[in-house]
This record gives sequence, C-alpha cells and structure tokens, in this order.
Amino acid sequence: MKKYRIPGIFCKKYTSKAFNKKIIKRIHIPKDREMIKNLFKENIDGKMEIIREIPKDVLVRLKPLAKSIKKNKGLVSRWKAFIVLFIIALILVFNLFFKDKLLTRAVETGLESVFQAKAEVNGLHLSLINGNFSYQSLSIADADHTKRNLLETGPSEFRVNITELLSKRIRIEEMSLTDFRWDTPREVDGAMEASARDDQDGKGGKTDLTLDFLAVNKDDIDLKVLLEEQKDNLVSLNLINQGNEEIETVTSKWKETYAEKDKKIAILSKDVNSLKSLSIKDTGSLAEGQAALKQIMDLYSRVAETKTELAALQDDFKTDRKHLLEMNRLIENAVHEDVNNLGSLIDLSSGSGRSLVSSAAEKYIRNRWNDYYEYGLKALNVYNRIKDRQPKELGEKKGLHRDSGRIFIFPGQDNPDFLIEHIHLSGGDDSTGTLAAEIRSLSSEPDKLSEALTFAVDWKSSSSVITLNGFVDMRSRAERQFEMEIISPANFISLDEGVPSLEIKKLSSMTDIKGESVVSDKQDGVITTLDISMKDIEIEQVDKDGFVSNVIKEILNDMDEVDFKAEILADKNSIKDIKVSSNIDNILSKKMGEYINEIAAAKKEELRTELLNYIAPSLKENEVLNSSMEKLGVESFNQIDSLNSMQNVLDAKQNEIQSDMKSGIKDEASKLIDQAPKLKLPGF
Amino acid sequence: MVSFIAKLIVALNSNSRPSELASGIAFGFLLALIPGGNLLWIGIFVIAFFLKHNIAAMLLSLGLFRLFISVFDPLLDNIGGFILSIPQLYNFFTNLNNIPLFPYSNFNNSIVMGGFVLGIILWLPVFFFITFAVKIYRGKIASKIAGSKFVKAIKKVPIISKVTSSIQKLSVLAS
Repeated sequence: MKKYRIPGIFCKKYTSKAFNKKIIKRIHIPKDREMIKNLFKENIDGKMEIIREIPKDVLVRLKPLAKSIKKNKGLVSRWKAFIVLFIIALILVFNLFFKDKLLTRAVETGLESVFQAKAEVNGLHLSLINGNFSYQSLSIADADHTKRNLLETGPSEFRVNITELLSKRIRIEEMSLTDFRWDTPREVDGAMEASARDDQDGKGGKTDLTLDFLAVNKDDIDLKVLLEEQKDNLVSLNLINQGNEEIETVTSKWKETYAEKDKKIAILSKDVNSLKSLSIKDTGSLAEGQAALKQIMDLYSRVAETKTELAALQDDFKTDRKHLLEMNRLIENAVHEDVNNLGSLIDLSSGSGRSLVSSAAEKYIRNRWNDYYEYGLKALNVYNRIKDRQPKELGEKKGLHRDSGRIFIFPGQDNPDFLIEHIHLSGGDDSTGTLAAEIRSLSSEPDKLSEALTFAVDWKSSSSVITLNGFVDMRSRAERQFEMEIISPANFISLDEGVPSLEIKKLSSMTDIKGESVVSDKQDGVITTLDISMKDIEIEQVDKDGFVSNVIKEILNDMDEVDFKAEILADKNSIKDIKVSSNIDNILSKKMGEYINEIAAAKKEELRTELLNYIAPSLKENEVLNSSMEKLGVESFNQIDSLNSMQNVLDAKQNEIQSDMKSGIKDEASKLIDQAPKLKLPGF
Repeated sequence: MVSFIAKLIVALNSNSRPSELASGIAFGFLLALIPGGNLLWIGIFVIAFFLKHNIAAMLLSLGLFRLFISVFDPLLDNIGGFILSIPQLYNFFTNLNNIPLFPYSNFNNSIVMGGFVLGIILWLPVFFFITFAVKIYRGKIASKIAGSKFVKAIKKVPIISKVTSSIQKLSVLAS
C-alpha cells in the first residue's frame, strides 16, 4: 500500500502573514483554498501549522497542490532561458554548417525569379560580421536561349556596409566580378520548369548573323507593296475620288434640272400640237382669227421664255463641265506627279537610305545594333524586375489576408534603399578578347545621389577595340538622362558573304567607328549617331571584267576611305529608324549613272503601269460619270432644238392665220363692192 | 489543436494563476493585431515567450484572432495613419527611424502602428476581463458544469471523450 506524505511546503510553520502570502494567495481554486485553510491551525507560538490527522483523500490531493503552489511563483520562467540558449546554439551551428548552403539556394532562387531562367552559384560565403559576400562562380541561363548562359562570372566579391544594412538599406560598397563572360554555352538546359522550351541547336533560335542581308536586289522592290504603303500619299487617287464625288453631285443636279425642263417642254409641245389643227378658213371670222393669233403669241412668248431659261442653264452647265474637265486634267497631271514621287522612293541613285550601298550598310548596322539592343532590353527587364520586387514582398504579406497598409516616410540618413557604389567587371582572355567595365552609383533611388550612374567599358580583341563611356541620369532634376561616347578604332571587318548587288563576293576592311548616343529631343528614344570610316578595303569580285566590277574597282582605287554616317533611333519597344548615308553613294551614282538610270526608268514605267492598274477602278467610275455628263450636254442641246422647232411651227401658224385673215378681209371687201351699185348715194 | 484546447481546459481547471491565462490570451490578441514578418512582432513574441503565462492560451488566441483580424485592417490603418501623422510625434518617429534595426520593425506602416497601439491599449482590458472571467468560472461555474447532466451526456460523444482523456492525461502530467 502506497504511503502518502505531507509535502514539505505544508510541513513548515508560517506566520499568519506569510501563510497568506506564500500558500493561500497561490491557490486559485476556491475549493482547494478552503481545504488548506481548514488544514492549518494557529499553534501556541501564534504560527500557522498543519494539523496532524489528515484524512487520506485529502492527503492525496496535497502533493499536486504543493507542486502548483511552487509553480505559481515569479513572473519569468527560468526554463525558457534554457530554450533560448538552445536556440542561440542552434543558430551558431547553422551559421557554421548550413548558412552558406541555404543562402546559395536563396540566391539561386532570387536570381531565377529575376532572370526567369536557371541560375547556379558555387562556393558562396557570407560573413555578416565583416560584411563580405563572395562566391567562386555564378552562371545565369538565358531565358530566351536556354542552352546558353546570359552571363557567367568567376570568383566575385561584394563588400556590404553593415551599418546601412542595420538601417534596412542595402549598400554594396564594392562589387568585383572577375572572369565575366556572356552568351556562353551551357551543358544543362537552363529553362525553368514552367517555361521549359525546345531548344535544339544550342543557339536557341538566335538570329544567325550571316550577311546575306547585304544582297540588295533591284527585284526585291515590290511595287504593289510600295503603292499600298504610299496609298495615302497618292495625289492622283485622292483627286480621282474627289472628282468622282463632284461629278456625281453635278450629274444628279443637272439630271434633275433637265428632267424638269423636259416636262415643261412636253407641255409646250402638246400646246403647240393642239394649235397645229387650228384654222379659221372655214369660219373666216376676224374675231376668231384675232383670238387664235393671241393664243399663238402667248404660246410663242412661253416657248421663248423657256428657251432663254435653257440658254442660261446651258451656260451654267458649261461652267460645271469646264470645272470637271479641269479636274480631269489635274488628275492626269497628278498621275504623272505620283509616278515621279513614287519613282523617287525607289530611286537607286539617291543617298536617302534606299541607295545601294547605304541600304546594305543600314541592314548590317540594324543586325549588329539588334544584338546590342536585345542585351539592353534584357538589362532593362532585369532592372524592372528588381524594382518590382518590393511590391511583391508586400503581396506576400497579403497572403496572410492582411492589408499592406500605408508607409509613412520619416527622414533618415538621405541614402537610397539600394545602392551599389562601384561595380568592377573583368573577363575574357587574349583569344576571345578582354573586357573591363566599371559602373558607379547604381541605385534604386537615384534622386538621393549627388551623381548620376556612370559607366566605362573597354573591349579589346584581336580584331576590334570598343570603348564606351557615358552616364545614365535617372534623377528627376537631370538635364540629360543619357549620354554615351563610342570609340572603336581599327576594327577589322570581313563580310564573307560580300555585297551581291555590287557583284562583290567578299569584302574586308579596317573600320574606325566614332559616335555618341543621347536621348532624343522629343524624349521618345535614344539617338545614336555613328561616323564609320572604312579604309584598306579589299574585295573579291564575281565578274572581274563586268561593268559594275570595273566601276567599283575604279572607285576604290580613287578613294582612300569610304565614309558612312548612321543615325539610329531606338525606344524601349524597338529600333525605330536607321538612316545611313555615305559618300560612296554619290560617287557610285555618278559612275553607274547610266546603269542605275536605266533601272530607274524601267522601274518608273513599271510603276506607271502599276499605278494606273491601282487607280483603274476609280478611273473607270470617272469615265462612266463623265459620259453621263456628256449625255446631259447633248440632251440640253436637243431641248433647245425642240423649242426652236416649236417656234417655227408657231411662226408658220401665225402666218397661216394672218393670211387666212387677210383673205377673209379681202372676200368681205369684194362682197361689199359687189353690193355697192345697188345702193343710192344720198344727195350726190 | 485538440491538444491546445485540452491544455487550455486543464489550465482553466487547475491551480494556475488566472492572470497567466489572461496574460497568454492578451498577448495572443496583441500579436494577432500586429502583422507578422517584422522585428516588432518578433520582439513582442520573444518578450511574451519569456514571461510566465500560458503559452497554449497565447498560441490558441493568436490563431483564433488571426482568422478574422483582417476585418479590422481598415480601422487599424486609420488609427496607425492618425498616430504616424501627429506633428508632435514627428521628431520622435524620425529619431526612431534612425536607430539601427528599428526600421526593420516596420513601425512606419499604418497597420503595424495601428495594431501595436490598439493592442497595447486593449491589452489591460483583455487581461482584466479574462482574469475576472476565470475567477468567476472557477468559483461559480466549474463545479456546476462538471456536475450537469448535459456535460455528462456530452462526455459520451467520442470526440469529447478523446478531449476529456487528453485533459486527464495532461492533468496527471501537470500534477
């Protein structure tokens, strides 16, 4: 049988005050409190002491009660301190063994979300105390060409300012990336799980920079497309349409007018016809004759009036007709003018961007520039993704179904939230070319900086040297947002595909390039102007004795260098425009004038035919309308003729009635004379 | 969850201080009001962890309040916004912003500030109310509930019997 003992806490003797404080106040169940109060009695010393005879069921309850009384002491649990110590020890162990591994994964995940492609980091090490972050190698796949790396670096080191980090600002004082390379091949496909794509050739559909685009062929000029492009600028088409509208209006107006006159003439004709049967021979009445004459005169004056009206209308009609004929003449001139204008667009001898050599250069520059532009866009996308990461972090809070709230800004040290003071990039070797780049003051809040982002890039290889110096000023008070100087002397350029349009099989030269990029005046993009000078040009020709080949040879013998001027306008959506002009175009056009003029003339004739075909439907309509106008003209003459014949009829009728009246008068007079002898004259 | 509820019921019926329970629930409420993921929340959690109170009550109340606390976000936003824009406190907040590590507390977020201030203000009322409620429960209700026919019937339901057995086990362990 288990023996129950009274717990030590109850065996002690307490003063009345201590008993209340140490025992009673630490019992929070009223029933238990009453039980303990009943178990303690005041002894002769005036102290509270537990009674000796305690029932067994009460004795059982004393042990847990004593424990809970002990537990209810103090405000802080000591055992929790051990837990904290344990957690600190755990953090230290983590720092020693797992920190870099976990951080490697975190960095890879972060880079993958920014670049949307696989990223690998090796040999990462972070020292929070020293503010150092380094790794042995980093590679980030190109999201568009997953079997190639967008960039790759060797050993790199970042120096982070810890004081700034404690103030929730990231300030990388120095970022040194060595063995920096880009567009390198990858062994493992770099597509993310969700966006894995078929990329078979390892180039991932990368535009092949073969130079067959230099083949400017005169047959490439599609006249139909040109006409469609220039549709709004065709004066003839616009005039025809305008003329057709006018003819239609005038025709319907005159049709209506002449129809009205027709009705009036028909009434007159009816009246004239009714007068035809009129005769006074039978009656011989003078009064009737006079009435008939009056009727004829009235009708005659109506016919004359209508005739005058018609004559006046005919004058108006002639004016309208003249105007329409003038328009037809204008249309003919416009067709001629359009042919000339369109011809100038395909003018093979001008230097306006569609010229033979400049056009080839334009295509070459466009392709080369596309590469730089593509990289520029990628950099911009990455920058935007980094910028957009902050709202995403707030979004994560939204995952807990909480609002993101408002952020109140209080002035702190006026430093940006993210700043890389100095980036130093280096890479390459003698075989591939060496790269050295320095970027300063890259920040998420450029307005907080006293200086703009500046960069300097040097690329040297066996065939070319490129130096870029410039700044990007994203501060709101910036006068100029972007400027870049481009210097690239002594580049060896070899066009293995040649320039087929000039019958050049292969071309090589030394080329000096100088230029600058600035934000356009309209702020709608970046304008880059390049002065390209090609010298020591060596060519291989298709037909050494051909006309074109001889001209080219002659020109190249005369010229020390061929100069190009290029102007490239690019915005964030595309390369909008490239204009190239060259001194060789004028020389070529002179030398090859005949040849080019022949082509141009042939093209003009083709263009004329095409234009006439193009405007044919409108012209057809014009013809139909013109012929209906002609008909109206004829109709108006017919009406006047019919009025003239009516007048003749009326004249005849008038004469007839007058002669009838005369004969009637004569008959009357004869009768009177015959009756005369039978009369006696009074008083003679 | 069942274990948390069981621990809470054990604490409610054992000889623990009512203030321990009340403090646990009040801290849970305060932590629920403040959006997580900042140094302020972590700091309060660490302080609450060191204090002697019922952790189960804290975690349970934190979980329960979190379920519907977002309904009060507009209110917290208004309170926090009001406090953060008091001109007299501008210098104080500016100084706070310049103390290392303090920016990580996100005190300049209206909901964090609103949650913190409202939580601090309501901490004492919640604490006293729960203390009072526990005392009332232990003094007047507990014995009545334990002896009621309803509870006896309920105890026969499997899930309830499971909870009861958990409570009994915990009671033994606690004792």
